[in-house]
Amino acid sequence: MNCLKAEEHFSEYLEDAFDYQTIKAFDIHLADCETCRHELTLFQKSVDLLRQLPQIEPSSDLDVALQARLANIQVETISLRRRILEAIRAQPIWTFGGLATVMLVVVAGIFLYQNAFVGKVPQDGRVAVNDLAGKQQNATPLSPRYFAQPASRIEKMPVAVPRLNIERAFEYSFNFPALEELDVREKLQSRRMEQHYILQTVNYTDVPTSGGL
Amino acid sequence: MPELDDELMKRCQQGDTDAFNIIVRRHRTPLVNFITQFLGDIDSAEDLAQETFVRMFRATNRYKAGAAKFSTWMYHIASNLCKNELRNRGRRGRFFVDSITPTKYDGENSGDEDLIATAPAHVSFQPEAQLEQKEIHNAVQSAIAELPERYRLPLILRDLQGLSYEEISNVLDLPLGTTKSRINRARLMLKDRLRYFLESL
Repeated sequence: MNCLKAEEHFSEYLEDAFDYQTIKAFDIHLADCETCRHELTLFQKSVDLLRQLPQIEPSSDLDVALQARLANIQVETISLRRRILEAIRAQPIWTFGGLATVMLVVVAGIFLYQNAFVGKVPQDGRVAVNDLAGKQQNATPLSPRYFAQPASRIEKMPVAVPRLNIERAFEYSFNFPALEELDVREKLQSRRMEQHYILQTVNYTDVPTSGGL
Repeated sequence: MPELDDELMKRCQQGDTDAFNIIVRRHRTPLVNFITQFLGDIDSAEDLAQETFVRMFRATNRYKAGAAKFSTWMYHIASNLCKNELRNRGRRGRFFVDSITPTKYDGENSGDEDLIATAPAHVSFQPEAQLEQKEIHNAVQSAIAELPERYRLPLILRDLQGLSYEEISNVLDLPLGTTKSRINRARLMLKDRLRYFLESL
């Protein structure tokens, strides 16, 4: 360690923040270097002088002026709130009626937009099983035998149930979660809603969303 | 047991202005000392201390307890205000050593007679010793003022305000290593500037 390098560690030496390797090298250098020993003494004295500088007591003017400013800020905040409330109160009643109407229209628009696509077939002709499962509950069953089933079983049934093939429908319903996607475009294009749906294959079914069949 | 700053700030956020007054009373002296040492001008220091408290009061609702130490937040605001003030003055560290009274500042003339009259008895009964001490203090103040801003600020925070290296690095947004090396460098510069006094001590 040379003198320049030793200087870099003066603060660490004073604050006892050395690691073992550094303090060893520092001590070796200090033992041999009279100049660094002297500089370290001056360094320590300067830090002591700095720390002995007396505290300056703020004047009472600071408190007075500060309290006045803080009080003003509070008044400003309160008056701002009051102004906003008064501005709201000053509005005629039809303003709020108008606002309420606009909000109602927006909410209704969102609702209609979301429901507009229920039961519609996506352009690629596929619909996810999850979507289909959600629509089962709105479907109207087809036959008295269907009604005779326990509710828990009905919930599991696919929506499009052939009147005369209820057992197969149950079978499909049990396999239903295993299906990944169903192609429905073809059926919607070729069949009318009042006709009975026939489940011919696992990949062909339909989801009526409202009304009875 | 006194309430922690974070608890007081929580009360402030709930609209308790008395809590903020406690914070002001607790921190005004260290804050004014910090700004005074940084700017070298106690009048500006009190103005900036006031501005610091006002900004903190306005930002009460944005304060997050535990995110940083309260004093770190306070010194961060104050040091930014000080830097702006120095920038506005158009030169680095305009310093009024004579305006800083070593013992007590009362907002008025602080001549030597006042100093001797108000000096604590335990220091010395000798006017010459008082004057000598004042001379040394002024020399130290001048030496601090001559330091470049980047060294002066961490030095004051460390040796006059007693912040830890970690807190200083947070206040100044500097890496810990840089903070340590700047403080060491500042002390070395101070030692060189005070050599005349130090050799005679």
